[in-house]
Amino acid sequence: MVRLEQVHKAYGKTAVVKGLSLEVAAGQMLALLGPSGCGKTTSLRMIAGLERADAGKIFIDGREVNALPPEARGLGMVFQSYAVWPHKSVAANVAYPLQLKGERDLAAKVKQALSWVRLEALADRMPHALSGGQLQRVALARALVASPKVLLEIAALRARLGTTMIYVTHDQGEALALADQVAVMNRGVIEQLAPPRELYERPKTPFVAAFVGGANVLPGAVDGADFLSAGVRLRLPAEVVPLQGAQSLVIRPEALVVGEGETQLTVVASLFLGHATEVRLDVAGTMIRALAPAAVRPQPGERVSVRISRAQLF
Amino acid sequence: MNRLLLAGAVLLIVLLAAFTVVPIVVLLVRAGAGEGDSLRTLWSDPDTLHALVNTVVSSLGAAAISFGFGLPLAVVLERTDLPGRRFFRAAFTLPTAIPPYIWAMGWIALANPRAGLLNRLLGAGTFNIYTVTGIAFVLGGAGLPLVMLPAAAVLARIDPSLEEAARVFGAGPLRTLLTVPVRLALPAAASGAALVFLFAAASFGVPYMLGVAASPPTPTLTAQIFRAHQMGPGGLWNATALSLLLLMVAVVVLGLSRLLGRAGRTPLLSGKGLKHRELQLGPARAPLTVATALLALGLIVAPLGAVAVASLTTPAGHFTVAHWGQVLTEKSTLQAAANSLWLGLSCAVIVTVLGLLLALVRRRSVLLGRVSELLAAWPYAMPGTVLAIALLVSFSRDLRFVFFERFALVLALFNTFALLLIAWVAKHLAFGTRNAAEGLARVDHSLAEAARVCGAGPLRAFFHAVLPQLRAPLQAAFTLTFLTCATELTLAVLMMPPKQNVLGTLVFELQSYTNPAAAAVIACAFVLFVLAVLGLRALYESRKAEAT
Repeated sequence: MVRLEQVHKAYGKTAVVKGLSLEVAAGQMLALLGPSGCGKTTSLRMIAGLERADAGKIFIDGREVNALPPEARGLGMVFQSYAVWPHKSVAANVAYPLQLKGERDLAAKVKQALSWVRLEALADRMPHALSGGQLQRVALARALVASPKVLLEIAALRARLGTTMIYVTHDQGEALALADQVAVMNRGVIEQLAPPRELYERPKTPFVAAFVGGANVLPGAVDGADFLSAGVRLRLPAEVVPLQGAQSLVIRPEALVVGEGETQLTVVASLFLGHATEVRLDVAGTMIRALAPAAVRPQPGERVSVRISRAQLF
Repeated sequence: MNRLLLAGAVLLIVLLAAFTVVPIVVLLVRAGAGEGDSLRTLWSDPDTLHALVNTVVSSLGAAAISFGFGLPLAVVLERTDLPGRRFFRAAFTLPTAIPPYIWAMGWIALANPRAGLLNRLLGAGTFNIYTVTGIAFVLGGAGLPLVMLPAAAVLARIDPSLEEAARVFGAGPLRTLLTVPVRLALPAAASGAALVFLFAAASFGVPYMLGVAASPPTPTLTAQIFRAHQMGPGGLWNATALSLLLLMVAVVVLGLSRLLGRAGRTPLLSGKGLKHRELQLGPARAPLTVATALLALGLIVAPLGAVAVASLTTPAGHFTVAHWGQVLTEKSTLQAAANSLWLGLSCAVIVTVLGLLLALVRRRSVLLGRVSELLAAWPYAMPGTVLAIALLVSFSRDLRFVFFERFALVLALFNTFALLLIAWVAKHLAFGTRNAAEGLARVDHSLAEAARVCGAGPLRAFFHAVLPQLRAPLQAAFTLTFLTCATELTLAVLMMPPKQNVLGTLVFELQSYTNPAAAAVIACAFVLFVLAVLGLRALYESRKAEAT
């Protein structure tokens, strides 16, 4: 339904999006996930036609749309600020895309769209009398009312819809829970494009591991069956192939077992989370996090033994 | 599409420059060329020197008076629990809507040395408004909002936590008020006072009405320029040379105020929805209320009341309503009112539309934006008299633009309403650009983008999503421009086609030469009109506030 081929965008000399390629099938939901400034919003705006791509091609429904202005692309969009027009009532906001299409039966269609977001009762209200959450729902109803080919979203989303969707977020939990595919972006490129489970279980880069699973990333080198990070020796788990030339070791907090193993590390802090304890440990100046059972309560300054149960080398 | 827009913007800017920058260049060249009396003889003439001194002294006085009353009023009305603040604020803002010469007429009726109402009450000669002090006083009162409003705006926008911090560190409420908000509002008030100086030095009606009747006469530069202009074609060159002097005064003051403003600028002022704690006046509440009320009575109510009384009095001092019917149905009055109406409305429409266009250009291109901003700001800062003389000199019949040595282009605008309209638009364009730019800055780009994605083209998106958000600032620009032009005098008195009048020039002629009582009737009618407009607007606003 939507396909991007080697899309580039720069503002002046700063390249914001570098060679972006992706594809979203009809009815699927893609999340663009990444830290602020990674180019995800710019990518969405290029799909919408609000920014022009410097190079590369954008296809919607099989048709190249690079030269098409936003109004000719047949999309729906929910903006971060919601962009609900303050001089129009809720119903008038939602009716607008239909009016431009010259559709009849406005009232019925508006009513139906408002019922999707459970706002029928507020149809005649003006936007300044609504809460933030209600405004968001007005924006969603407005984006959906004219049955767009693709729905683009920057605002926070709480539900899945039947339409093809591209959705921008920096919240990894939301992306993993809702999307069919997640594109993790960093500095203008996609680091990995995969279904949520694969992304979590088999991250392709340390960045994806750190951003999606909150993994620890330690710099260093493989030394025999161990990993040496700034003089600290860590025993690699048996199933990890000690790849020569690896530069970083990625360990999820839940794969770091406190109280077992040979490596001794100093506790920096110990945070009680309720269901567990997050133990922060010092590895020669780099802080790593381990998730321990709630009963484990090491004191700061204490030396504890640590074992790695699972890890990845890059 | 973008190229077309760019070309349009450039064309617009070139056209603007043709009517604002070119005339000033012509003025400089022609004054330098020294037709008529030479620059040196004219500038060393004791009359010129006298006028220069009068201008500077009365303007300094006016600035001091506006500052002295304006800043305390801003503090008291914005930051204390004084009763009736809304009323007082409206009263002291009135001079923005009522032209200065009407206040001068009020003070003439109150304090002219022989027949003034005050002097009749307190004995002849107690007050004499026909002095430099009198000019400074009237202009200071008329300029009061120029200090009070910007100072009040800053006071309303200061981050409350700054004051809370002062309180926590041990300063009492009064001390906090003086050391934080008042200190931060000082630069705004000071640059407001500099504006009052410019406004006073450039004003014509007040110093002419008060200075010419004085004995000995106390002319200011604007009055001298007017007099030179009245001398006929030769006089225009003397007027040009004098204008150059006035322009220099204005440029010096403008430069000084820029320096002042830069030194005192504070970046701490922030956002919206701030709630300030009001200073509880306690036992000082009653005396301060009385003092404020007396000030409003003296500065605002008394002169307007005196104009009303003058409109109802025969030369012999008897009460009559005959003037009203007579004056308001007179052909000359109706003619002048019609001229003011159509010229004022045209000017307001052009200023609003051009202001919006320039503000849009500013959003698209930084460079063109800067240029257009300057083009709008500089005629506003320039004395009206200078602008008028510059346009007259540039478009007089003997100046031809010759292209390729063949085509002579004579813009025969001299002595037409068109030239006056151009001058008014140039002078007040800043109202339009400022309001439109501030309004646009508050409209998020996503409102138009949302309309685009919904299927609207760029023009439709602008008209459907952006323009409706600009209604209030554009309405304000329109109203302000219309009210200002409807009674404009300084430019009109120099540029009026022969045997024609607008309200300003008619009132001026009646007051100065023929029939002050008739002038008072028209002035009074105008004041009533303004009060009605403002009252209706206040009513509409409060209705709207209630409805939401």
